[in-house]
Amino acid sequence: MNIESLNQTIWDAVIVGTGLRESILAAALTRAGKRVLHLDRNPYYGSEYTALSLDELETWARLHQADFHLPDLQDPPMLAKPRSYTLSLSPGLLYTTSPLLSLLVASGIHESLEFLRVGGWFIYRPDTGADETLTPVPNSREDVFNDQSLDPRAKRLVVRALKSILGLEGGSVADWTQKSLQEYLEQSSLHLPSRIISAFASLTLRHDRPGEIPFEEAERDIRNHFGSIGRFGPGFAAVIGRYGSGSELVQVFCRAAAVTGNAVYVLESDIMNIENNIPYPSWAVEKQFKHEDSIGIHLQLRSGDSIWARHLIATADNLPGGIPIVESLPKPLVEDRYWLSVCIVSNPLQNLLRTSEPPLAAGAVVYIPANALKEDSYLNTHPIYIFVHGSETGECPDGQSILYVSMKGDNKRFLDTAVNSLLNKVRDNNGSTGQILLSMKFENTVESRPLKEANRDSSLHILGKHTPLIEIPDAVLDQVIDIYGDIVGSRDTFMEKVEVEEGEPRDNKDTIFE
Amino acid sequence: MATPERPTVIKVLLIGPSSSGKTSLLKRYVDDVFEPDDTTTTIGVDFREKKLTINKKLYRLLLHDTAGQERFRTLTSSYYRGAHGILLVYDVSNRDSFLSMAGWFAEAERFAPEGVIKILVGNKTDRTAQRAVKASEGEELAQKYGAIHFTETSAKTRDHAKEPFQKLIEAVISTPGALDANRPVAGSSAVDLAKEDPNNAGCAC
Ligand SMILES: Cc1cc2nc3c(=O)[nH]c(=O)nc-3n(C[C@H](O)[C@H](O)[C@H](O)COP(=O)(O)OP(=O)(O)OC[C@H]3O[C@@H](n4cnc5c(N)ncnc54)[C@H](O)[C@@H]3O)c2cc1C
Ligand SMILES: Nc1nc2c(ncn2[C@@H]2O[C@H](COP(=O)(O)OP(=O)(O)OP(=O)(O)O)[C@@H](O)[C@H]2O)c(=O)[nH]1
Ligand SMILES: [Mg+2]
Repeated sequence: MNIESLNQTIWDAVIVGTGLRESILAAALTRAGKRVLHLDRNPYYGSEYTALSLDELETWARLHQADFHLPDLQDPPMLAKPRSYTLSLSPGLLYTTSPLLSLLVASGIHESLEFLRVGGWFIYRPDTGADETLTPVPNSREDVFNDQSLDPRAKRLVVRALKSILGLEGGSVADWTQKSLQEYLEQSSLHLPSRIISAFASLTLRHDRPGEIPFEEAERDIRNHFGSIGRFGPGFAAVIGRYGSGSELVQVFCRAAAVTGNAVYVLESDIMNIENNIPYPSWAVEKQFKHEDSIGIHLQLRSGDSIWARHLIATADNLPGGIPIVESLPKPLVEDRYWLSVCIVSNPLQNLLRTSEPPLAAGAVVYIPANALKEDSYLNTHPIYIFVHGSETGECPDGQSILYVSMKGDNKRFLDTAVNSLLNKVRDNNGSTGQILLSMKFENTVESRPLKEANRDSSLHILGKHTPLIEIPDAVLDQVIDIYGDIVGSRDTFMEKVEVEEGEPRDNKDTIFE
Repeated sequence: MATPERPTVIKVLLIGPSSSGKTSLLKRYVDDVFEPDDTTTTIGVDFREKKLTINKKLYRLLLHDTAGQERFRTLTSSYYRGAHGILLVYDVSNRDSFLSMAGWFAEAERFAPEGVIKILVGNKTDRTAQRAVKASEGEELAQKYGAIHFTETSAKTRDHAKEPFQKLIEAVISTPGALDANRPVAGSSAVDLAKEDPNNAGCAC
C-alpha cells in the first residue's frame, strides 16, 4: 500500500489509542473485512496497557510526573540490564471464566499468548497484633477445614456464609441489596471475625473497605471467583499473560489486525482536528467508494495527513482538546483516585507462589486490610493490594519479582512501606528479605461511570476512560462488541476465526537439501 | 498423498530499513516475481506463508515482512516472540541503509528470543554503478553481530535471491534445539486455554 493511500481511502474506522479495547476492536473489525487506521500518539503500543523496559519506564515516569526511585543501596548493583524487565502498566489478571479468554480461544488468537496461573490470595495484617499476620485465603473445602486458626464453630459459620453467598443455601435469604459486604458478614447469625471479612473482601479485588462494598456486587465477585476455580486445572481461579499480561494481549490483538491486511498502524501520530458530517471529497465519490453515505468524518493529523473515515473510536483523552466535538462530551461524575506502584524486588517470593500442586504459580494476590499497616504512626485508611508477579512471567530475571501495588487514598508512602513489610515477612530460602531495587509510584483516576459510554452517535464512538487495575474486567469486551455491532451491523460475526488455508504444499520443488 | 502429520512451523522475520527490498525479496522467494517500479512501501506488517517439504518432512514457513519506515512500524516485542530466524536486509546501493544496520541488529538483539538465527543480506547487487557498500563490509558486519551468514542478492535479477531464505531454513532445521528453543518457554507451567479441565465444572462448594 502507498503512503498516499492513508489520505486516499475512506477508512471504515479510525481508532485512536492502542489500549486493550481499541486493539480488540481493531482485530474484530479487520477480520470482518473493515479497513482500519489505527493510531497511537506514543512510540509504543498499549496506551494505558503498555509494558516497558526499565529505561522506557524511566522515560514514561518523567513524562507522567511519576515518582521513579532507584534506592541508592545497590552495591554491587542488583538490577539486571534495563531490557531484562517488562514492567507492565496493566498487570491485571483474568478469571478463567472471563469471556475474553473464551474469545481468545474461539478466535485462535490464544496461540500467540501464554497464560500462567495466579495461585493464592493472601491476607497480610502486619500491624494488628495478630499472631499469624500472613494467612492464605481458603480456596477449597480442605482449606477451610485445615485452617488452624478457626475453631469448628467458626469453620461452620464460614462455610455457611460462603454457601449462602454462592447461592447454595436453600430457602430465601433476607434482602441484602442495600447492605454492605461487612454488614452481611457481621449479621448476628454469622458474626464473622475481621480476618474472615478481609478474606471475602480480598476476593472482590475492590479497593474499598468491606463496609463500602455493596453486598450485591461482592456476591457477584465472590461467585465469579469460586466459579473460576478449576476450569483449566485444579487450584487456581485466575491467570495472567506472560510478559506483562494486558500489554501482551494488546500486542497480539494489534498483530491479529495487522496480518489481515486490513489495518494500517501508525505510531507517534496524533489527531489535531476532527470535523463530523463533512461531505466526502470528489475523488472519493469518483473512486471505488460506493458507500451509500456521502458524508463522514474528516481528521487532520499532526503529520499533516488529512484522513477520511466513517467511524472514529477513541477515549476522550486521546482526542485533541479545545474542539467542539470533544468539549461537548459529558464529563465524568465521580473520579476515584488511586495510587499505584511498580516495584522490582530482589526476593523471588516463592512462598507466596507455592500452590497445592507444582510448579510454582506465576502470580499471587496479597491483601492488606484497612488499618492493618502502620506508616509513621498512621494506619492505612484503605486496603492495599500487592499483586506479585514472579520471574516466571518473564517480567524480571530469576531471583527477583515484580510487585504491583495499588490503593485508594492519599498517602503514597504506604506503597513502599507495604512492600518492605511484606519482604520482611516472606523471606527467600536463605532467610534474606531482599529489597526494593526500584519503585515507581504514580497516581491515576478511575471514572465511576460505566465503561460503556452513553454518548454514542452513529459515527463517533467515545470510550470511557479505563484504568487497568488488578483485574482485566469483562466489561472491556461488552463495550467493544457494542461498537462492533454498530459498525458491522451484526454482533454474531465478532472475531470469527480466520482459517489459514491448509492443503497440499504449494511448492514441493523448493528443495533445500540437494 | 499428503501426510496427516502436522507441519513444523518456522517463523521468520524480515527487518531492515525502508526500501532495502525486503518485500521484493519475499515476493521473489514466494511467488518468483519482481515488480520493478513498485513504490509501495510496506505498512504495518505483511504475512506470507510457504509450505515446504524437506527430507520428506513438512514445514510451514511463516514469513513476516515488516515495514522499514519508522512511521509504519508495527514491530513490537511480542512480534519477535517465537521467531526462529531473522533476515536483516540492507541496500548495497545506499550507504545510509547499510549504516542503519547496527540499529536493526540492536532491535533484534533486544526483542528476539535468545539463539535466534540471523542472516545479513545486502540487496540490489544489480545496481553495480551505484554500489555504495563493499561486500567485505557486509561480511564484517555480519561477523560483528553474530549473523551466521552473509549474502548479497538481487531481487530484480534473481541473483542469490533465494539463498538467504534457504540458508536460514537450513540452519534452523539443522541446529539442534533451534526449532523448539524459541517456542514459548516453560510449556509445563503455561495454562492450556484450549483444554478445559473435564473433571471440574467450577468450584464444588
Ligand atoms: C473461602 C472458602 C472457600 C471455599 N472453597 C471451596 C471450594 O473451592 N470447593 C469446595 O468444594 N468447597 C469450598 N468451600 C466450601 C466448604 O469447604 C464446603 O462448602 C463445605 O465444607 C461443605 O461441606 P458440608 O456440606 O459437609 O458442610 P456443613 O454441613 O455446613 O458442615 C459440616 C460441618 O462438619 C465439620 N466437618 C465436616 N468435615 C470436616 C472435616 N473434614 N474436618 C473438620 N471439620 C469437618 C465442620 O465443622 C463443618 O462445618 C469454601 C469455603 C470457604 C469459606
Ligand atoms: N534494482 C533493484 N531494485 C530493487 C531490488 N529489490 C527491490 N528493489 C526496488 O526497491 C524498492 C523498494 O523495495 P521494497 O521491496 O518495497 O522495499 P522494502 O524493504 O520492503 O521497504 P519498506 O516496505 O518500506 O520497508 C522497489 O522499488 C523495488 O522495486 C533489487 O534487487 N534491485
Ligand atoms: Mg516492504
